[in-house]
Amino acid sequence: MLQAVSPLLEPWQFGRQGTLRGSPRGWVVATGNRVLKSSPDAARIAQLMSDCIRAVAVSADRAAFEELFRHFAPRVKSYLQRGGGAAAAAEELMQETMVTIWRKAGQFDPARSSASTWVFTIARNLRIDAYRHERHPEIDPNDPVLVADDEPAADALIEARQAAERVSAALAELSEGEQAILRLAFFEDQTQSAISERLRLPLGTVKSRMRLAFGKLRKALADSTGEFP
Amino acid sequence: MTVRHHVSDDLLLSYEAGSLAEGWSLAVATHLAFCPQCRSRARAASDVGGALLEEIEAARVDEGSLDRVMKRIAGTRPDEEAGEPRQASGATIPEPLRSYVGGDAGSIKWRRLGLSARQALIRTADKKTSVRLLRIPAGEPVPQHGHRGPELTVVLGGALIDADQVFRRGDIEQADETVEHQPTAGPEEDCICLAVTDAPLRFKSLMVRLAQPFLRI
Repeated sequence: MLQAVSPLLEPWQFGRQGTLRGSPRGWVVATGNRVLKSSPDAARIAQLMSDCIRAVAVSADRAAFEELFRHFAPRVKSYLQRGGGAAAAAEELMQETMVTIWRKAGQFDPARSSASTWVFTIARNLRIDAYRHERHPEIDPNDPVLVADDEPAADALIEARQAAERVSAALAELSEGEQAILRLAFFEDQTQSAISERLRLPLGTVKSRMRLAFGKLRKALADSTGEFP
Repeated sequence: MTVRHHVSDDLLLSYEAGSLAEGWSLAVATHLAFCPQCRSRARAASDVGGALLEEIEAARVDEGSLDRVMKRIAGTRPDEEAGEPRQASGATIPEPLRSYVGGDAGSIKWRRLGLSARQALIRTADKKTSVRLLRIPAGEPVPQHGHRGPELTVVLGGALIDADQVFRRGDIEQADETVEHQPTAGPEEDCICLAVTDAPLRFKSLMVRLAQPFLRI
């Protein structure tokens, strides 16, 4: 049972009326074109989603999977529509994403990424495959040739989620222009050259704004861990 | 082994955003296999995707969408969890490149490129980039060339010396149309590298230029 996995759940998060369908205390913070600061509830949702993926992996927990669906399906579909897919294609690919989440739940490592980051990468890879007929080449973490991480992952479990929260908070502090560029790259599948044409900015400016934006996000991470990766 | 030349932030963001063509992405991912430092930055870049996904305006899912998905997973169990890292295989080319090559260094089918250099083309699904492995004999220069577009080079073996910079195994070099260079293989051994371009290179030598259409470079 999921309750056993996650003691953090509150009544509104479970039970018949309590599924993550609604919008208790405003945790759905997406509005318009501006990223808003994440609330303390956002942190709890992040924890819940992470626990749900683990519950699917460990015990094929269908109730947990339903929670994942209610939270992620509308977001993933929206993401897939912004990437240029018609509603029907986006719906189909969203369902494929959800089935993949079920199937690959065992690969989710809460020490390495937050639930939403993991779901994003699955949706992204399916989108690249479906819309561009390309692959997204990635490292194989079990490849013996891979040069291993130097630092042991002590406390990494908390760090991965905290890192995601800090990135999220720092994202809200970026200028509208910087957010717009990130959104074009992440949501609308625009290359740097395409962004430069779309925003009528020199390519060099697009690159430097991306670097500047990412620098700020990494600074926010460094402020917490004391290192500037 | 310490990697000294890293992927730039904007390239890493584009890679994690998924907006980078497959050929460029292959060079980035190959560098990541060598570079724990850039992998940690890549995680921060993918967190941007996760954070944006959390904040996205939710779309309406179809009626019966959940039922259909629940039906599809009915009676199935998630895949088994990933096992322990595989034992050392003696391979030298990391994933994902090894799969693209179709095996390790021994299975590369080299073809002549100019007098003494060799190349092996690598197929990707994207039509924008050309991807190849290059083998430059020790101490010899890569034919001098400028670029009509960007070029990514990841060194897999030996060293590549470009002006006052040395690139070794795992290092990535980013060049663009402003760069005209003549990198040379280090004196100790042949240099093997992965090179990705999106436009024909501009070679200075007429001989090489005449041969370009046949070399597909």
